[in-house]
Amino acid sequence: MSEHSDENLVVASRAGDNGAYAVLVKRYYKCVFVVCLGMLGSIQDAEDTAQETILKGLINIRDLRDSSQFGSWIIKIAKNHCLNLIRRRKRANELITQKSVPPGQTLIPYKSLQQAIEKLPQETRLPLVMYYFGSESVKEVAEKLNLSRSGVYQRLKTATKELHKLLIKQGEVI
Amino acid sequence: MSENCEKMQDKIADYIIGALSQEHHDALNEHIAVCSKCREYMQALKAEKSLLVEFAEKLDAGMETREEEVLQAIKHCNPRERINLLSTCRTIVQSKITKLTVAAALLIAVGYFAGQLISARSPDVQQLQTALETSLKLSLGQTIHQSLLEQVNRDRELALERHYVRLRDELTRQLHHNMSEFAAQTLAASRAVTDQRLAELIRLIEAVRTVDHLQIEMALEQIESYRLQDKTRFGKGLVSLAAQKNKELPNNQQ
Repeated sequence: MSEHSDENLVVASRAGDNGAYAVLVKRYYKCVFVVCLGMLGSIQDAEDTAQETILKGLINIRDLRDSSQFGSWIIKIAKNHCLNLIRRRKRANELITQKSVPPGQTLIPYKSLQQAIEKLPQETRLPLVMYYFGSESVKEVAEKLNLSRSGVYQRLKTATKELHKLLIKQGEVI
Repeated sequence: MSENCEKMQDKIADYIIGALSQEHHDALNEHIAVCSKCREYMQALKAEKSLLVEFAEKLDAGMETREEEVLQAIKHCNPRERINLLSTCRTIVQSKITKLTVAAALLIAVGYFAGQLISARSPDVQQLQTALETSLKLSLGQTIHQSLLEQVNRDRELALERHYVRLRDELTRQLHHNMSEFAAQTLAASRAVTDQRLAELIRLIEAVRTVDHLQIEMALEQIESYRLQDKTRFGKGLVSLAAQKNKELPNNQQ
């Protein structure tokens, strides 16, 4: 077990070593951010939720039983956080008849693309974002989402076709 | 759009994500060569894929800044205090003893009110408060004491675990250092012993050579001595022979 293994870093973090936790953050932040972006669709929401996830991980690190499983544990926290946010938004939208979407951070040249990605259903958006934005292979996406490789290919294909339809609908001709 | 075009556009999406077999690829190329609509569809999907990749790269470029913001947020968070507080509160709330204590306090309260109602007297709030306080103090005191003990035990276990890891790493490092030192010392000692043995061997060869030299000298001296003895004997023999010849010569003349 090397000095900077997840296991050693988790043990040090539990003892209050923020420096050790910072190393874990550098190792897993991108993964967490990409999952949040895939589930929520908005960059701003993904940034906020990823930050909350990392802080929650620090506070609850004693609850992690298997120190070597930090990666999957923090991703699970991120997914739960995203699901809670989606549920809260859904309830709020049911109460408020006039739906108002908060202005999120956008990269101007990619505004239409970003809007189209946000409109994709979550089940196809998450594999698409992990594949393109997380630079992950189909095999890695399949493992992380507990899907078969053909299942991931199917969702990627659906997302590609849907994205094209949405861009056409938005009047975006590339 | 014809049924064939619909199928082909499905294949185009497969091609874009890199999941199209060579067999289908050839069929797709043949179709695209003659169908302008599907050709345009393919070009659009290719352009969208390029845009996605470009967008992902731009987003990735800002990843370090996002990480830095999160790391700054962590710096302002003192997990130890929050962990201890949260953990202790959770332990106390989830503890069976706490639940039993609350149940007991409620039963006492219900019993007291029932007693007051049966005796048809107005309830003595002060007395009830004192009874509840005493009961809660007794039970909760024990609960908090137990929770704190558990917390201390957990802290101690974590500290031990951490020290164990450090101790193991330190011992491993020390062992590697000792092994290297031992190897260097052994090598040096071995070299010294070899040099000593070689010197002894040279000395031995020199001694043997000296002894041999002496023996050869002694042998030469012995040979010289034998030669001189033989020479003397030979001379004496010649003298006695000459004397004998001289004696025999007059007799022969007579």
